[in-house]
Amino acid sequence: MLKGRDIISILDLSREELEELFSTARRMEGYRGRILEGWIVALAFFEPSTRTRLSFESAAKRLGASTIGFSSAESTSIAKGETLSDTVRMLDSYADIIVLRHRYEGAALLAANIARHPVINGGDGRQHHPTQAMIDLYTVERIKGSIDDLNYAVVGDLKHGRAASSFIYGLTMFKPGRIYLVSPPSLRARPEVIRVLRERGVRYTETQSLSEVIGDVDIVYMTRVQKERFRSLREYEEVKGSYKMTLELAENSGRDLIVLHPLPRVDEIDQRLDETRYAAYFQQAANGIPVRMALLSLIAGVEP
Amino acid sequence: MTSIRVEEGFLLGPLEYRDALLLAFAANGAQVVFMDDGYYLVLQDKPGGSLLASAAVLNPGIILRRAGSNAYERVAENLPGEIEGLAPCPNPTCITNQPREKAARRFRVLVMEGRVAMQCVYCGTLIMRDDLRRMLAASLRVEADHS
Repeated sequence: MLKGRDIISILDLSREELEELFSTARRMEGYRGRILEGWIVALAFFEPSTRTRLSFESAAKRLGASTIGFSSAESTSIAKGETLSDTVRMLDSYADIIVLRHRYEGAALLAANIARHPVINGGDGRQHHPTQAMIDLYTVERIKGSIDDLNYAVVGDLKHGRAASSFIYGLTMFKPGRIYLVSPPSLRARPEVIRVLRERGVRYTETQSLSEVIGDVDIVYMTRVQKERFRSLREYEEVKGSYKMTLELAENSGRDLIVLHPLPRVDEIDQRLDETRYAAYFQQAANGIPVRMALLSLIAGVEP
Repeated sequence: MTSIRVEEGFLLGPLEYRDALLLAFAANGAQVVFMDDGYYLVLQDKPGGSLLASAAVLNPGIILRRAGSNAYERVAENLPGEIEGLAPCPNPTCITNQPREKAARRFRVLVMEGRVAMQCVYCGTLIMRDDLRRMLAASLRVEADHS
Protein backbone atom coordinates (compact mmCIF):
# COMPACT_ATOMS: atom_id res chain seq x y z
CA MET A 1 0.00 0.00 0.00
CA LEU A 2 2.94 2.32 0.60
CA LYS A 3 4.77 1.46 -2.62
CA GLY A 4 5.97 4.61 -4.38
CA ARG A 5 4.32 6.90 -1.83
CA ASP A 6 5.62 10.19 -0.43
CA ILE A 7 5.62 10.34 3.38
CA ILE A 8 5.09 13.97 4.34
CA SER A 9 2.88 13.68 7.42
CA ILE A 10 1.82 10.73 9.54
CA LEU A 11 -1.71 11.90 8.80
CA ASP A 12 -1.14 10.70 5.22
CA LEU A 13 -1.21 7.10 6.46
CA SER A 14 -4.18 5.05 7.55
CA ARG A 15 -4.29 2.87 10.64
CA GLU A 16 -4.08 -0.21 8.41
CA GLU A 17 -0.96 1.14 6.73
CA LEU A 18 0.66 1.86 10.09
CA GLU A 19 -0.19 -1.65 11.29
CA GLU A 20 1.34 -3.10 8.12
CA LEU A 21 4.44 -0.98 8.76
CA PHE A 22 4.67 -2.24 12.34
CA SER A 23 4.33 -5.90 11.37
CA THR A 24 7.04 -5.40 8.73
CA ALA A 25 9.23 -3.68 11.34
CA ARG A 26 8.87 -6.72 13.59
CA ARG A 27 10.31 -8.85 10.81
CA MET A 28 13.09 -6.32 10.28
CA GLU A 29 14.39 -6.59 13.84
CA GLY A 30 17.79 -8.20 13.42
CA TYR A 31 17.35 -8.55 9.63
CA ARG A 32 20.36 -8.20 7.34
CA GLY A 33 19.83 -8.68 3.63
CA ARG A 34 20.23 -7.42 0.08
CA ILE A 35 16.59 -6.81 -0.84
CA LEU A 36 17.33 -3.19 -1.79
CA GLU A 37 20.59 -3.93 -3.57
CA GLY A 38 21.11 -1.42 -6.37
CA TRP A 39 18.84 1.17 -4.70
CA ILE A 40 20.22 4.56 -3.76
CA VAL A 41 18.73 6.53 -0.88
CA ALA A 42 19.53 10.26 -0.78
CA LEU A 43 19.85 11.69 2.72
CA ALA A 44 19.36 15.42 2.23
CA PHE A 45 19.73 16.99 5.65
CA PHE A 46 19.68 20.76 5.40
CA GLU A 47 19.46 20.88 9.19
CA PRO A 48 21.62 19.10 11.74
CA SER A 49 20.53 15.61 12.71
CA THR A 50 22.21 12.72 14.45
CA ARG A 51 19.64 10.02 15.12
CA THR A 52 17.38 10.46 12.13
CA ARG A 53 20.17 10.68 9.56
CA LEU A 54 22.31 7.89 10.98
CA SER A 55 19.40 5.53 11.52
CA PHE A 56 18.14 6.10 7.96
CA GLU A 57 21.66 5.44 6.71
CA SER A 58 21.96 2.31 8.82
CA ALA A 59 18.48 1.13 7.80
CA ALA A 60 19.25 1.58 4.10
CA LYS A 61 22.56 -0.24 4.37
CA ARG A 62 21.07 -3.17 6.29
CA LEU A 63 18.74 -3.64 3.34
CA GLY A 64 21.63 -3.56 0.88
CA ALA A 65 20.96 -0.04 -0.44
CA SER A 66 23.60 2.66 -0.87
CA THR A 67 23.28 6.16 0.47
CA ILE A 68 24.36 9.57 -0.79
CA GLY A 69 23.77 12.94 0.78
CA PHE A 70 24.85 15.73 3.04
CA SER A 71 24.31 16.73 6.63
CA SER A 72 24.15 20.52 6.56
CA ALA A 73 23.17 23.25 4.15
CA GLU A 74 26.63 24.80 4.49
CA SER A 75 28.26 21.84 2.80
CA THR A 76 26.09 22.04 -0.31
CA SER A 77 25.49 24.33 -3.23
CA ILE A 78 22.62 25.81 -1.16
CA ALA A 79 25.40 27.83 0.45
CA LYS A 80 26.17 29.14 -3.03
CA GLY A 81 22.58 30.22 -3.49
CA GLU A 82 20.96 27.15 -5.05
CA THR A 83 17.27 26.79 -4.32
CA LEU A 84 15.78 23.77 -2.57
CA SER A 85 13.82 23.06 -5.75
CA ASP A 86 16.98 22.79 -7.86
CA THR A 87 18.72 20.64 -5.26
CA VAL A 88 15.73 18.29 -5.21
CA ARG A 89 15.74 18.00 -9.01
CA MET A 90 19.39 17.01 -8.84
CA LEU A 91 18.82 14.47 -6.07
CA ASP A 92 15.84 13.08 -7.93
CA SER A 93 18.08 12.15 -10.83
CA TYR A 94 20.72 10.59 -8.57
CA ALA A 95 18.60 8.55 -6.14
CA ASP A 96 15.56 6.27 -5.89
CA ILE A 97 14.23 7.57 -2.56
CA ILE A 98 14.88 11.01 -1.03
CA VAL A 99 14.87 11.60 2.73
CA LEU A 100 14.77 15.31 3.43
CA ARG A 101 15.09 17.47 6.53
CA HIS A 102 14.71 21.23 6.27
CA ARG A 103 14.16 24.17 8.60
CA TYR A 104 11.15 25.51 6.69
CA GLU A 105 7.68 24.06 7.14
CA GLY A 106 6.38 22.65 3.87
CA ALA A 107 9.83 21.96 2.39
CA ALA A 108 9.19 18.22 2.15
CA LEU A 109 5.86 18.75 0.39
CA LEU A 110 7.50 21.10 -2.08
CA ALA A 111 10.20 18.49 -2.70
CA ALA A 112 7.56 15.80 -3.20
CA ASN A 113 5.75 17.98 -5.72
CA ILE A 114 8.97 18.31 -7.70
CA ALA A 115 10.55 14.86 -7.42
CA ARG A 116 9.42 11.84 -9.40
CA HIS A 117 10.84 9.54 -6.76
CA PRO A 118 9.30 9.13 -3.29
CA VAL A 119 10.17 11.77 -0.69
CA ILE A 120 10.26 10.95 3.02
CA ASN A 121 9.98 13.91 5.37
CA GLY A 122 12.80 13.70 7.92
CA GLY A 123 11.45 16.80 9.70
CA ASP A 124 10.25 20.13 8.29
CA GLY A 125 10.58 23.06 10.67
CA ARG A 126 8.16 22.76 13.54
CA GLN A 127 5.56 20.90 11.52
CA HIS A 128 6.00 17.18 10.87
CA HIS A 129 8.37 14.38 11.75
CA PRO A 130 6.38 11.37 10.56
CA THR A 131 9.05 8.69 10.90
CA GLN A 132 9.70 9.70 14.52
CA ALA A 133 5.99 9.28 15.23
CA MET A 134 6.05 5.84 13.57
CA ILE A 135 8.93 4.82 15.85
CA ASP A 136 7.16 6.22 18.93
CA LEU A 137 3.92 4.38 18.19
CA TYR A 138 5.81 1.19 17.36
CA THR A 139 7.61 1.41 20.71
CA VAL A 140 4.32 1.76 22.57
CA GLU A 141 2.89 -1.22 20.73
CA ARG A 142 5.99 -3.34 21.35
CA ILE A 143 6.01 -2.63 25.08
CA LYS A 144 2.31 -2.33 25.89
CA GLY A 145 0.95 -4.68 23.23
CA SER A 146 -1.48 -2.05 21.94
CA ILE A 147 -1.75 1.68 21.30
CA ASP A 148 -5.49 1.77 21.97
CA ASP A 149 -7.14 2.47 25.33
CA LEU A 150 -4.03 3.87 26.99
CA ASN A 151 -3.74 7.33 28.51
CA TYR A 152 -0.95 9.55 27.25
CA ALA A 153 0.75 12.68 28.55
CA VAL A 154 2.63 14.64 25.90
CA VAL A 155 4.86 17.04 27.79
CA GLY A 156 6.93 20.10 26.96
CA ASP A 157 7.02 22.51 24.06
CA LEU A 158 3.95 21.44 22.11
CA LYS A 159 3.96 24.59 20.01
CA HIS A 160 7.32 24.25 18.28
CA GLY A 161 8.10 20.57 18.76
CA ARG A 162 7.51 18.62 15.55
CA ALA A 163 8.04 15.26 17.26
CA ALA A 164 5.35 16.02 19.84
CA SER A 165 2.89 17.25 17.19
CA SER A 166 3.51 14.23 14.99
CA PHE A 167 3.09 11.85 17.93
CA ILE A 168 -0.26 13.48 18.76
CA TYR A 169 -1.31 13.22 15.10
CA GLY A 170 -0.25 9.57 15.08
CA LEU A 171 -2.33 8.81 18.17
CA THR A 172 -5.43 10.10 16.39
CA MET A 173 -5.14 7.11 14.02
CA PHE A 174 -5.80 4.86 17.01
CA LYS A 175 -8.17 4.92 19.95
CA PRO A 176 -6.27 6.41 22.89
CA GLY A 177 -8.17 6.67 26.17
CA ARG A 178 -7.18 10.28 26.81
CA ILE A 179 -4.29 12.52 25.80
CA TYR A 180 -3.04 15.06 28.34
CA LEU A 181 -1.30 17.95 26.63
CA VAL A 182 1.08 19.24 29.30
CA SER A 183 2.79 22.54 28.56
CA PRO A 184 3.22 26.12 29.75
CA PRO A 185 0.43 28.35 28.39
CA SER A 186 2.76 30.00 25.88
CA LEU A 187 3.84 26.66 24.42
CA ARG A 188 0.45 24.97 23.99
CA ALA A 189 -0.30 22.74 21.00
CA ARG A 190 -0.96 24.69 17.81
CA PRO A 191 -4.57 25.26 16.67
CA GLU A 192 -4.16 22.89 13.71
CA VAL A 193 -3.16 20.07 16.06
CA ILE A 194 -6.14 20.72 18.35
CA ARG A 195 -8.40 20.78 15.32
CA VAL A 196 -7.37 17.25 14.33
CA LEU A 197 -8.00 16.01 17.88
CA ARG A 198 -11.46 17.56 17.87
CA GLU A 199 -12.37 16.37 14.40
CA ARG A 200 -11.39 12.82 15.21
CA GLY A 201 -13.20 12.82 18.51
CA VAL A 202 -10.07 12.13 20.58
CA ARG A 203 -10.48 12.95 24.27
CA TYR A 204 -7.83 15.40 25.38
CA THR A 205 -7.08 17.75 28.26
CA GLU A 206 -4.73 20.73 28.18
CA THR A 207 -2.92 21.24 31.46
CA GLN A 208 0.18 22.91 32.88
CA SER A 209 1.17 20.33 35.44
CA LEU A 210 2.49 16.83 34.86
CA SER A 211 2.26 15.91 38.54
CA GLU A 212 -1.49 16.56 38.53
CA VAL A 213 -2.17 14.04 35.78
CA ILE A 214 0.60 11.47 36.25
CA GLY A 215 -1.67 9.20 38.29
CA ASP A 216 -3.88 8.69 35.25
CA VAL A 217 -1.19 8.13 32.63
CA ASP A 218 0.29 5.01 30.96
CA ILE A 219 2.69 6.71 28.54
CA VAL A 220 4.67 9.87 29.28
CA TYR A 221 6.06 11.46 26.13
CA MET A 222 8.67 13.97 27.23
CA THR A 223 10.09 16.70 25.00
CA ARG A 224 12.49 19.46 25.71
CA VAL A 225 11.25 22.86 26.90
CA GLN A 226 13.76 25.23 25.41
CA LYS A 227 14.74 28.17 27.59
CA GLU A 228 14.97 30.47 24.58
CA ARG A 229 11.26 30.01 23.82
CA PHE A 230 10.24 31.95 26.94
CA ARG A 231 9.66 35.65 27.08
CA SER A 232 11.67 35.97 30.28
CA LEU A 233 14.08 33.88 32.30
CA ARG A 234 11.77 34.25 35.29
CA GLU A 235 8.88 32.70 33.39
CA TYR A 236 11.13 29.79 32.46
CA GLU A 237 12.36 29.30 36.01
CA GLU A 238 8.77 29.23 37.25
CA VAL A 239 7.69 26.37 35.05
CA LYS A 240 10.75 24.31 34.26
CA GLY A 241 10.29 21.97 37.24
CA SER A 242 6.82 21.06 35.98
CA TYR A 243 8.33 19.56 32.88
CA LYS A 244 10.86 17.26 34.43
CA MET A 245 10.23 13.54 34.73
CA THR A 246 11.73 12.38 38.00
CA LEU A 247 12.08 8.94 39.53
CA GLU A 248 9.87 10.01 42.42
CA LEU A 249 7.14 11.15 40.05
CA ALA A 250 7.23 7.78 38.28
CA GLU A 251 7.26 5.78 41.50
CA ASN A 252 4.52 7.81 43.15
CA SER A 253 2.26 7.59 40.11
CA GLY A 254 1.05 4.14 41.09
CA ARG A 255 1.01 3.30 37.38
CA ASP A 256 2.88 0.85 35.23
CA LEU A 257 3.95 3.73 33.04
CA ILE A 258 6.70 4.09 30.47
CA VAL A 259 8.60 7.22 29.49
CA LEU A 260 9.34 8.07 25.87
CA HIS A 261 11.53 10.88 24.54
CA PRO A 262 12.53 11.55 20.92
CA LEU A 263 16.00 12.56 22.17
CA PRO A 264 18.31 14.36 22.51
CA ARG A 265 17.36 15.18 26.08
CA VAL A 266 18.91 17.83 28.26
CA ASP A 267 17.66 17.64 31.83
CA GLU A 268 13.95 16.92 31.41
CA ILE A 269 14.40 13.27 32.39
CA ASP A 270 16.05 12.32 35.65
CA GLN A 271 19.02 10.09 34.76
CA ARG A 272 18.09 7.82 37.66
CA LEU A 273 15.21 6.64 35.46
CA ASP A 274 17.61 5.25 32.86
CA GLU A 275 18.07 1.85 34.46
CA THR A 276 14.46 1.41 35.55
CA ARG A 277 11.48 -0.28 33.88
CA TYR A 278 10.05 3.19 33.23
CA ALA A 279 12.73 4.12 30.69
CA ALA A 280 11.64 3.28 27.14
CA TYR A 281 13.58 6.02 25.36
CA PHE A 282 16.67 3.99 24.53
CA GLN A 283 14.57 1.17 23.12
CA GLN A 284 12.64 3.86 21.23
CA ALA A 285 15.87 5.15 19.68
CA ALA A 286 16.91 1.60 18.75
CA ASN A 287 13.52 1.01 17.12
CA GLY A 288 14.45 3.69 14.60
CA ILE A 289 16.33 1.08 12.60
CA PRO A 290 13.65 -1.62 12.06
CA VAL A 291 10.90 0.96 11.55
CA ARG A 292 12.89 2.89 8.96
CA MET A 293 13.96 -0.37 7.31
CA ALA A 294 10.30 -1.36 7.08
CA LEU A 295 9.34 2.01 5.65
CA LEU A 296 12.07 1.96 3.00
CA SER A 297 11.21 -1.59 1.94
CA LEU A 298 7.46 -0.90 1.76
CA ILE A 299 8.00 2.27 -0.28
CA ALA A 300 10.32 0.33 -2.57
CA GLY A 301 7.70 -2.41 -2.81
CA VAL A 302 10.21 -5.09 -1.85
CA GLU A 303 9.60 -7.15 1.27
CA PRO A 304 11.91 -9.57 3.03
CA MET B 1 -12.63 56.39 -6.10
CA THR B 2 -15.58 56.74 -3.86
CA SER B 3 -15.08 55.47 -0.41
CA ILE B 4 -17.90 53.59 1.19
CA ARG B 5 -18.11 53.81 4.92
CA VAL B 6 -19.69 50.79 6.40
CA GLU B 7 -20.99 50.05 9.82
CA GLU B 8 -19.55 46.90 11.44
CA GLY B 9 -16.99 46.28 8.77
CA PHE B 10 -14.19 47.79 6.81
CA LEU B 11 -13.46 48.50 3.25
CA LEU B 12 -10.92 46.92 0.97
CA GLY B 13 -10.54 47.84 -2.64
CA PRO B 14 -10.27 48.03 -5.51
CA LEU B 15 -9.78 44.34 -6.18
CA GLU B 16 -9.56 42.07 -9.12
CA TYR B 17 -12.78 40.16 -9.57
CA ARG B 18 -11.08 36.84 -8.85
CA ASP B 19 -9.48 38.10 -5.67
CA ALA B 20 -12.72 39.61 -4.51
CA LEU B 21 -14.42 36.26 -4.91
CA LEU B 22 -11.64 34.45 -3.09
CA LEU B 23 -11.78 36.92 -0.26
CA ALA B 24 -15.49 36.52 -0.02
CA PHE B 25 -14.96 32.77 0.20
CA ALA B 26 -12.44 33.26 2.92
CA ALA B 27 -14.44 35.64 5.05
CA ASN B 28 -17.68 34.01 5.94
CA GLY B 29 -20.58 36.33 5.39
CA ALA B 30 -18.65 38.91 3.45
CA GLN B 31 -20.31 40.81 0.73
CA VAL B 32 -18.65 42.10 -2.37
CA VAL B 33 -20.08 45.38 -3.53
CA PHE B 34 -19.76 45.71 -7.25
CA MET B 35 -18.83 49.12 -8.63
CA ASP B 36 -18.38 50.23 -12.22
CA ASP B 37 -14.68 50.80 -11.65
CA GLY B 38 -13.84 47.66 -9.74
CA TYR B 39 -14.90 45.52 -6.87
CA TYR B 40 -14.95 46.49 -3.24
CA LEU B 41 -15.05 44.01 -0.48
CA VAL B 42 -16.79 44.77 2.76
CA LEU B 43 -16.08 42.37 5.58
CA GLN B 44 -18.93 41.96 7.95
CA ASP B 45 -18.09 41.90 11.60
CA LYS B 46 -21.11 40.45 13.33
CA PRO B 47 -23.40 37.65 12.28
CA GLY B 48 -26.79 39.09 11.64
CA GLY B 49 -25.37 42.60 11.25
CA SER B 50 -27.10 45.31 9.37
CA LEU B 51 -25.71 44.58 5.93
CA LEU B 52 -26.51 40.98 5.36
CA ALA B 53 -29.43 38.80 6.10
CA SER B 54 -28.49 36.42 8.89
CA ALA B 55 -29.18 33.47 6.64
CA ALA B 56 -26.41 34.62 4.36
CA VAL B 57 -23.99 34.90 7.23
CA LEU B 58 -24.78 31.50 8.60
CA ASN B 59 -24.56 29.81 5.24
CA PRO B 60 -21.05 30.14 3.80
CA GLY B 61 -21.03 31.15 0.20
CA ILE B 62 -20.50 34.21 -1.87
CA ILE B 63 -22.96 37.05 -1.76
CA LEU B 64 -22.72 39.87 -4.25
CA ARG B 65 -24.54 43.15 -4.21
CA ARG B 66 -24.32 45.30 -7.26
CA ALA B 67 -23.91 49.04 -6.93
CA GLY B 68 -27.15 50.91 -6.95
CA SER B 69 -29.10 47.86 -6.01
CA ASN B 70 -30.34 46.66 -2.69
CA ALA B 71 -30.71 43.07 -3.84
CA TYR B 72 -28.24 40.40 -2.78
CA GLU B 73 -27.17 37.85 -5.30
CA ARG B 74 -25.82 34.45 -4.29
CA VAL B 75 -23.22 33.56 -6.87
CA ALA B 76 -21.77 30.45 -5.25
CA GLU B 77 -23.46 28.04 -2.93
CA ASN B 78 -20.49 26.10 -1.71
CA LEU B 79 -17.04 26.87 -0.55
CA PRO B 80 -14.17 25.63 -2.68
CA GLY B 81 -12.06 22.87 -1.16
CA GLU B 82 -8.89 24.77 -1.86
CA ILE B 83 -7.88 28.17 -3.15
CA GLU B 84 -4.60 29.20 -4.66
CA GLY B 85 -2.59 32.38 -4.90
CA LEU B 86 -4.64 34.39 -2.45
CA ALA B 87 -2.17 35.95 -0.05
CA PRO B 88 1.11 35.14 1.65
CA CYS B 89 0.89 32.57 4.43
CA PRO B 90 1.23 34.39 7.79
CA ASN B 91 3.89 31.92 8.93
CA PRO B 92 7.27 33.49 8.08
CA THR B 93 9.03 30.10 8.06
CA CYS B 94 6.57 28.56 5.60
CA ILE B 95 8.34 27.40 2.45
CA THR B 96 5.90 29.50 0.39
CA ASN B 97 7.35 32.66 1.98
CA GLN B 98 10.87 31.92 0.79
CA PRO B 99 11.19 34.28 -2.18
CA ARG B 100 13.47 32.08 -4.25
CA GLU B 101 11.42 28.91 -3.87
CA LYS B 102 8.58 28.66 -6.32
CA ALA B 103 5.95 27.12 -4.09
CA ALA B 104 2.45 28.25 -5.03
CA ARG B 105 0.38 29.59 -2.15
CA ARG B 106 -2.40 27.14 -1.55
CA PHE B 107 -4.95 27.06 1.23
CA ARG B 108 -7.56 24.53 2.25
CA VAL B 109 -10.89 26.17 2.98
CA LEU B 110 -12.46 24.89 6.19
CA VAL B 111 -15.54 25.66 8.17
CA MET B 112 -14.82 25.63 11.89
CA GLU B 113 -17.53 26.35 14.41
CA GLY B 114 -19.64 27.87 11.69
CA ARG B 115 -16.95 30.20 10.41
CA VAL B 116 -14.64 29.98 7.48
CA ALA B 117 -10.97 29.38 8.17
CA MET B 118 -8.07 28.52 5.94
CA GLN B 119 -5.15 26.19 6.35
CA CYS B 120 -1.90 26.53 4.45
CA VAL B 121 -1.41 23.36 2.45
CA TYR B 122 2.36 23.56 2.92
CA CYS B 123 2.97 24.50 6.54
CA GLY B 124 -0.38 23.52 8.04
CA THR B 125 -0.88 26.90 9.72
CA LEU B 126 -4.51 27.40 10.56
CA ILE B 127 -5.72 30.90 9.80
CA MET B 128 -8.82 31.89 11.67
CA ARG B 129 -10.99 34.92 11.85
CA ASP B 130 -8.87 37.87 12.95
CA ASP B 131 -5.67 36.49 11.52
CA LEU B 132 -7.44 35.83 8.26
CA ARG B 133 -8.63 39.40 8.12
CA ARG B 134 -5.21 40.81 8.94
CA MET B 135 -3.55 38.57 6.40
CA LEU B 136 -5.94 39.51 3.63
CA ALA B 137 -5.78 43.21 4.42
CA ALA B 138 -1.99 43.20 4.51
CA SER B 139 -1.71 41.25 1.28
CA LEU B 140 -3.87 43.67 -0.61
CA ARG B 141 -1.96 46.74 0.59
CA VAL B 142 -5.10 48.82 0.69
CA GLU B 143 -6.17 51.46 3.10
CA ALA B 144 -8.56 49.67 5.33
CA ASP B 145 -11.27 52.01 6.45
CA HIS B 146 -12.00 50.71 9.92
CA SER B 147 -15.29 51.74 11.32
